[in-house]
Amino acid sequence: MRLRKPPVGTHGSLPADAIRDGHGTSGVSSTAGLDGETLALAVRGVGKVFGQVVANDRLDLDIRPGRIHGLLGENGAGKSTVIKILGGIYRPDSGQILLSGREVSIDSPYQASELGIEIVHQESILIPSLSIAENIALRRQILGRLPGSLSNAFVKTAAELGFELNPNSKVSTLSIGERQRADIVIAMMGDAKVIILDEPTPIMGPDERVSFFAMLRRFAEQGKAIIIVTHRLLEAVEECDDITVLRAGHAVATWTSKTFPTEGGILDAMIGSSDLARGDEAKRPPTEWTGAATLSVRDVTLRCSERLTVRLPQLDVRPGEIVGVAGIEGSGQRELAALLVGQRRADSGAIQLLGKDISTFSERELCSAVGDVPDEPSLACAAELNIWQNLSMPELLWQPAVGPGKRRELKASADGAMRLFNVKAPNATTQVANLSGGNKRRVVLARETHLKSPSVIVLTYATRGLDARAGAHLLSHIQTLANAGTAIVFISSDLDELLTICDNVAVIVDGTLGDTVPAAGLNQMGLAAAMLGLSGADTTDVPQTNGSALQ
Amino acid sequence: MTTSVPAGRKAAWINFGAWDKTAAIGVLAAVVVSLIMLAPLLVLAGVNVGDGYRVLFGASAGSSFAFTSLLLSTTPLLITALGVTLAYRAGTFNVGGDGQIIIGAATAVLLFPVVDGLPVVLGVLVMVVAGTIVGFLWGAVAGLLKKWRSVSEIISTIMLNMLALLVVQYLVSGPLKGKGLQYAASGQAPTNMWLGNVGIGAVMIPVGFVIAVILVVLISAYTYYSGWGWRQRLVGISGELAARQRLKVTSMQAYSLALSGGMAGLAGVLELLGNQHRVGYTFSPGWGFDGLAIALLAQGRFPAVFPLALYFGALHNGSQSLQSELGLSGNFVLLLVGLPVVVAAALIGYANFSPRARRAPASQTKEA
Repeated sequence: MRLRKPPVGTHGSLPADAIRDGHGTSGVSSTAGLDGETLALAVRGVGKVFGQVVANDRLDLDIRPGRIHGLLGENGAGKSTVIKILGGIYRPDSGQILLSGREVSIDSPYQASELGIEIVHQESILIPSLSIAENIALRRQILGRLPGSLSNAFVKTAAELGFELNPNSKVSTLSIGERQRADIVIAMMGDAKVIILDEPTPIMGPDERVSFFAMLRRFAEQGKAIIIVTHRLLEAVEECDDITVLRAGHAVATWTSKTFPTEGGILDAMIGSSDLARGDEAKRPPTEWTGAATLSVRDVTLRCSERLTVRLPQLDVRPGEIVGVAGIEGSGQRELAALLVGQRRADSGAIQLLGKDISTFSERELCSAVGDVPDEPSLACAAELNIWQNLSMPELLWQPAVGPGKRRELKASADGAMRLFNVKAPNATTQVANLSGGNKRRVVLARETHLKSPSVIVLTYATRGLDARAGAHLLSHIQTLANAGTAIVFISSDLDELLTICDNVAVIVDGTLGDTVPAAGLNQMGLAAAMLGLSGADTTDVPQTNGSALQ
Repeated sequence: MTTSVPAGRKAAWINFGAWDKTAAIGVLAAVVVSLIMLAPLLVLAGVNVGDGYRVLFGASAGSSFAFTSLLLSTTPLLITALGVTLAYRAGTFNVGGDGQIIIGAATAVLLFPVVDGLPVVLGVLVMVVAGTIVGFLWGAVAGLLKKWRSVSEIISTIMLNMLALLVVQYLVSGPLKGKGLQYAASGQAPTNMWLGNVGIGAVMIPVGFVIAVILVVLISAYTYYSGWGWRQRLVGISGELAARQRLKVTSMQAYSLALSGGMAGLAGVLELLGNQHRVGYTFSPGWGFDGLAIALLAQGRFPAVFPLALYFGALHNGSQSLQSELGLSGNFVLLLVGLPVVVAAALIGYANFSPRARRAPASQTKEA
């Protein structure tokens, strides 16, 4: 879910039971919590800006020893940035970090570790070609072999945690789960005061999760402060002592000592009610969709990795219909798109395009029948080639030959498309490598939605990298295409967008796609809850909708 | 290869694009710097520097005969380099040129008894086609191993070099050994099928070279203008991107490696019929590796392959004179061939990783 930055300083929309800690935006620098207890870690007014993007904005965090602190927030809320600041990977532009009441400056991951801050990253940062022991040595800046004492400490901690890990095994031979366990052991084996875990639970099974939290609790009881980033609201509510919600780089709400509001209240803080009110008036008129589907998916499964299997029980997209796929990023959207555009073949099930099985299409037919706007421009345009070559890719690749005359024609139509899509570049022979991310995306959009005339277009996070005006322009362009009879699959994590332009929406959670339901019957809160995998929340305005994931 | 360096860091002149001025300057700089570095080496070898350069290049210029011998030395290099460049454009490295050359030539030798009675043109054609096909198959082995088993073609082509050499060593010291020879080499090609020269005025141009030039033109035109050429290029630019455009990346690479092998096989047959007339252990003095060096220097650009092959051909051609006139070791030539590669690698490394390149990634330079 990507939402606009709320106006700074307006927290009037917070749930009534959200407790502000007192030293928030007021700038009071205190190292003690409300009860006078010393904080293990205090973040005070930390700001971090990347170019135009404000990642952290006067962020305050109070982390108490002996507790599990949940850090919640949408993608882009600034969780990862603050973690990287605490881990010594980024340096803050402003603000202070206090460790046990003493101001510290964390200049490198090694120093963070020396100060007693250990981080378990979302994706393991162990070096695959080395053994676990060598990785530990590298991280502790030890030359040569790892001393036996450290190796023993690893084995001992692993045993305590109930993990079977050999410090001499090469990381590349470990599964993703084992790598994560090794990461956890490495973080826990020292005498770290603060342990930060960035979304550790998605790759764990249910049983594993139970023992994982039991383990976290034991470590907390030893006086360590534990910060855990999670997308799972229920998990946070059940397992954490304190919860802080970040939004637009800012700590918008903190609840301590299990004084949590309802899930709805937490969700409100994450999304912001001011945003929830928007967008409802611009919805597309509800339509009865009948007739043959352009794209039709039945019982498709694709095993992608240990942590992700994509399951698509049913999806139909008819001519002129915009079907939104909503979900938290990394829930299998990329793989879904790869399946729908015909790049990947499903392990089982059937995908039909224009009434024929997608596997019967040649590469060339797929190229012309399906518009494909992937999330990464590098999947759709070659940086080494120039703009007109990228725009003319279907012709260049699939015509037997393109002679000088045809080249001139292609260049001319590329010029037109560049103007139409506002690609900012000196001319059509500019290399794409020299374009900004937003302009690369415009090149892809111009080719896939304008120069080609596909029957179905699959867009993945299409407005990303575009400014607000270009984004709005693109959304109206997509609606125009739909009105002209193109079937559209619109994959996004942006609630506004989804509810504004989609006719029907399906939610993807952990790789599984739910039923499609009319967008007209949805509100942002319900959609957000469904994306987070919450069931039972009051999700729809219209009770008779039949979407299982949305009820 | 091209995907290993983030696009943003790439300096303009090593980009995988059309031939441009900066690219030409880069290659030229590599050649010039390597030529200048030759001077201290000549001094170390105790040779007059002026004499060294004069002998080295006098062998290739100054007389009609010298020019013809230059072209003769260039022919196998040019065709092999063309093949390696074809593979390179699909993002693969054919290190197996030497094996493919010698196995192609050996195929023609095997056919000597068959073609003996045939009309000359038909006989030559049979040998050329057969040698090319066997080279193609030799390259296809590496290509299919890569496609089916993800075996690095760098390893497999080197191993296939060994295999080809051993097979040929066996053949020319046994079944195919020329009658009455004191050393291990094949019998001689039927003399009526030797490839001669085409005379243009006083200048004699070897037939093999003419074929090579025609191939350069045809293959460049085909890869630059055809859909196949563009697909191959996209595969070379990024496998991920090509796969998303539904291209069959590994098939494309396997096919490119096979084609590359076919070119080397052809080079072998033309060298056999145009120059050496027999196959021995030392049939190829390392054209496969030189072809790789040329393809790397040219960065996959066909127009650059031609002058580079001529330059390398001149070095090879001059090496014999260096040996016979100045008594320099034959290994000296290896140095000459290696130098431009080292210099170019240094230049590429500098362009990619210099503090300036790091500070100002190309992707940011023209931000609107």
